Amino acid sequence: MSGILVIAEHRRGVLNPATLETIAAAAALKQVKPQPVAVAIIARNPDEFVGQVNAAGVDEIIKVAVPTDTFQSDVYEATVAAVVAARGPAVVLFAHTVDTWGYAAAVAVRGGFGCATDVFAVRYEGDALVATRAGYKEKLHMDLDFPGRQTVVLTLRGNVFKPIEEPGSAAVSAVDAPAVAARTAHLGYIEPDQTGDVDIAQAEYMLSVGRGVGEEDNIEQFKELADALGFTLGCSRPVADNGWLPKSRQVGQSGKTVVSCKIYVAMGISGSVQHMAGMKHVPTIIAINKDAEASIFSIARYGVVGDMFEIAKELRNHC
Amino acid sequence: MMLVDALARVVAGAVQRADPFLAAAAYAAADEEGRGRLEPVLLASYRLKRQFAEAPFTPPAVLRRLAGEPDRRIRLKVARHPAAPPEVLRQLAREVACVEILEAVARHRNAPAEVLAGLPWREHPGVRDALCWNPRAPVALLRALIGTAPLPAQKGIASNPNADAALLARLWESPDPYLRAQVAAHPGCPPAIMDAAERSPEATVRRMLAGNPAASLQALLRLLGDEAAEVRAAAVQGASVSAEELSDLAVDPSSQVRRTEARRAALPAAVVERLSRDPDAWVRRWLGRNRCATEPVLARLATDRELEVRRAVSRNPGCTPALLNRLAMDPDAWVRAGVALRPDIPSEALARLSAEEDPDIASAIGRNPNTAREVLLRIAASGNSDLRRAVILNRAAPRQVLLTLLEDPYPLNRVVLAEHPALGEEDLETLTADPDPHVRFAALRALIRRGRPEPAAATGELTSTDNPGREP
Repeated sequence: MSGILVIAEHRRGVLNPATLETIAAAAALKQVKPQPVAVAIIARNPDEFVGQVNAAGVDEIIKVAVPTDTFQSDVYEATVAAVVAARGPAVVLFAHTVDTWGYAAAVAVRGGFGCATDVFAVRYEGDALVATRAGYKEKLHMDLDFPGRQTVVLTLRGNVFKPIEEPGSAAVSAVDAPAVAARTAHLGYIEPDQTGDVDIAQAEYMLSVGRGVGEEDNIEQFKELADALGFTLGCSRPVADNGWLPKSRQVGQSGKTVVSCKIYVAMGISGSVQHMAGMKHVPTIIAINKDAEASIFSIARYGVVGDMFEIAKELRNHC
Repeated sequence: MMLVDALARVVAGAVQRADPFLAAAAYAAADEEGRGRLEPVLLASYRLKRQFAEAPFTPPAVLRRLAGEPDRRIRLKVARHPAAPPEVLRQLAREVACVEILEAVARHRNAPAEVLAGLPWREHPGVRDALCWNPRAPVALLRALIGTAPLPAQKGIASNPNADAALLARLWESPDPYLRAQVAAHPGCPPAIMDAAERSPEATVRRMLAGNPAASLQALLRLLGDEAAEVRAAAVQGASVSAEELSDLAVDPSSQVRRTEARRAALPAAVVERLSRDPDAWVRRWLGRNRCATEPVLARLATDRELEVRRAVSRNPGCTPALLNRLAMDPDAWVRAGVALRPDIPSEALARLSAEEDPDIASAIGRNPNTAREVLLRIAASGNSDLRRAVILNRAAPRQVLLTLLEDPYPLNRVVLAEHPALGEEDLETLTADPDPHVRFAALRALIRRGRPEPAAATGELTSTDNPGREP
């Protein structure tokens, strides 16, 4: 087994930019340990994407025509397995995405390969491939090697490897896709809600207020504080239910998940299960609440037991 | 007598169905004998005890019972429960062997003063520090505590409403400016310290003094001329100043000062006029909400380029019907939603906004007490659980509309629905057989509050599907 196989990803005719990051990771490995890099395009019309993945460092582009353009995990799992069987790579790289969560590990299980997901660094130690990923909610980093595995499957975290902009001159080939009876059917796409003034799912820094804000007129000072801090203002359900902030700013089970958030300041939010469902993954949660026993403190990295208005006033004076 | 019979049936039903959530709701109203029968259901497992000891909805009667549990972990959760009644905390304060429980009692806002005074704080620094922050700690105790309290706990004493002049004077000697600032902000701060605070080189100290409701008018007027904008801003909030001074503040170079002035309850018309043309949008936003904004000013702000200024106007109680009708046609949905929320919405605006599909507007219309029944029915049939909940939260929603929501797919909506005054007792009885335990709890609690707990469903057979994660 030798060489690196990158699996391209696309949706609705658009190449996922993470594919180019994955190619960059493959090219970096190739520089350390010379070996061929191939990119497989699984699509109804793979030609659409050939030019886009033809980046410097890619030696071969493998077109695999399948009957549908919509993602089906059964189809992708069997098709990638067929390409791996045909080319025999030592490393198979995927972008770590919602699609690959569904089938990359299955490919590894099917072939008896080594596997690591959400990898953000990869290197060779001698001949051995070593992947780095986080563990225990990002509290530590783990180096993983794969002794005895001839092929290793890795899914790579986004925004880590810089995409290669220089075009390449890869040879183009094709592999036949196996016939697969998918167990799922694609019914359609549900467009994200376009209403609302901000997309809190994309916000990196959030300040959210809850029931502790008391009344509508008090919201303004927290809007002002969020504005001064450069944070996006969010809220818990009771605030949105009262119409004090738009529904688009509601965090939680019936609101939105703050997917991209890095720092979340929860002011006057007790921490209902529904609210925490939308933000408990955030690496740095700062909870401010009068009640020292509020549930929100159980997931906070920093906690302040105090009056949210007093603290907001102090913060405002330091902005 | 009827109530006694009905309660007996509720107890029997909860026991028969082995439903801990119905048992929890019935427990508070049950007599001694009934409680004895409910307890094996209510306290059937450690998990249930733990769940009720920390759930925010647990009735005090159940907490009282849990405070007697042999398991220390359960008693600790009770001591930390915000609704723990004073007598329970008094009982738990005797747990000298468990420092965590003592600390929880020392921190608890329901703990009686004499219980706090009797806690063994000399042996336990954690208990001492918690007591310093407790607003129910008596002054004699605070005097005892101050001798050994570390700086963070001293800040607790400085902000404690029971701290007297002598304590504050002692704390004022601290080299820590934030502690001195806390002293300057205390309503019981002695005049001599206030004078010293006014002359403090620390802006934080002067700012905190300016925010002290007990600060003299003369001091506030002097602080209005302070070199630090944060001090002037704090002073402008409280000072009873002349029209001339307010006029000067309206052109203060600091937007922070002007923003604060725009929030003042009483402003002369000329100052309102000037602030309404302020280049800082936040000044105009605050003014848009200010009840002393005049009609022509509100009319002008209603055409402001900043949507949040227009939204502020839409929420101003002084808005005229004509202006509300105009704002109901604002290009931005958030502004129109502000009009839709108003109980005094003109009929023309209501008719216009009732047809809108924007979620913020539809939600506001769903909550509006003037909304027509057919509109409520349409919103109640929405696929959006937030919109359906808006109708449930509308206290004026008629029963016929609410009946369509008895089987709302979102359990939280059914929990909220159980609190609606327009629901009939038979509707609440239906909800006592809900598959979600929190809905059953809320429904039975509502029935009991009405004084006629006769849920026929509670006497039937139904398997409890416990869902501990949800909070009614």
